[in-house]
Amino acid sequence: MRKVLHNRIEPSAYEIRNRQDFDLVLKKYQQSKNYWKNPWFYGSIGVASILSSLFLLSI
Amino acid sequence: MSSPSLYHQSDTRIQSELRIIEKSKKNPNHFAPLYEQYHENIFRYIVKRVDDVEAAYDITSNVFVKALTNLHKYEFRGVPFSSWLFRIAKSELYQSFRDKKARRTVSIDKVVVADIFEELEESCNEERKADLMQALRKINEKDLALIELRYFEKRSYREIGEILSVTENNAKVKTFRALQRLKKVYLK
Repeated sequence: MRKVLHNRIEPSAYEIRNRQDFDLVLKKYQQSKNYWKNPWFYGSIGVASILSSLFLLSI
Repeated sequence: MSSPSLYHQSDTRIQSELRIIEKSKKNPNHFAPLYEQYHENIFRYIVKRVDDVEAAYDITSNVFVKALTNLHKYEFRGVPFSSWLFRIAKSELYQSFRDKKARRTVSIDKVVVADIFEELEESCNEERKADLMQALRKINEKDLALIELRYFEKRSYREIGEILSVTENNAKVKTFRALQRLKKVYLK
């Protein structure tokens, strides 16, 4: 069940501004892009395709 | 507790944003001014709906990563960039609930409670307040999302429509029905 919070104190604009970290966003973005370039990613797709084909042929 | 609306922007500001977006599509480093401009609004939208502030910072960060990843798909068709970001925020928020990284939370204050009682045409006392809290726990997620955007955050129907990908008129009708269903649950 969801929680209902009454009169909750939210961080101030100053605190929120201090937590801005665009470098981290860029880093995560680069990592997510590099994920597609990773040979392991295509390797797993390849293995999965071969296994699926073998399974279908065996039916 | 109302959120400052970013919806009504001047043409100059919209054009300036579009120039930044076009530059960011080629080089993500140019996205920094948009990140700085919208970070607080997106964070406030998220933190009101999760129980953990640190999780809210993480989800906010992921919203901007997703925005950068999908920026090549963004085209200006009269929908402000901020609404596009809120759509991503909504999707990231529900993903974090599915992944159990955050817990769905409703944040209300006395102003919101008074406004809701006015909308429900009911008088407010401690017992009724407890009933309202219970009703907010029980109503379905779609109704709650509409009630939060309209009555808690005081957003226009146009902005609600843009965030929820429905027309302005549809947002108005859906919000009215959501309030009626809240009233029904509250009066049970």
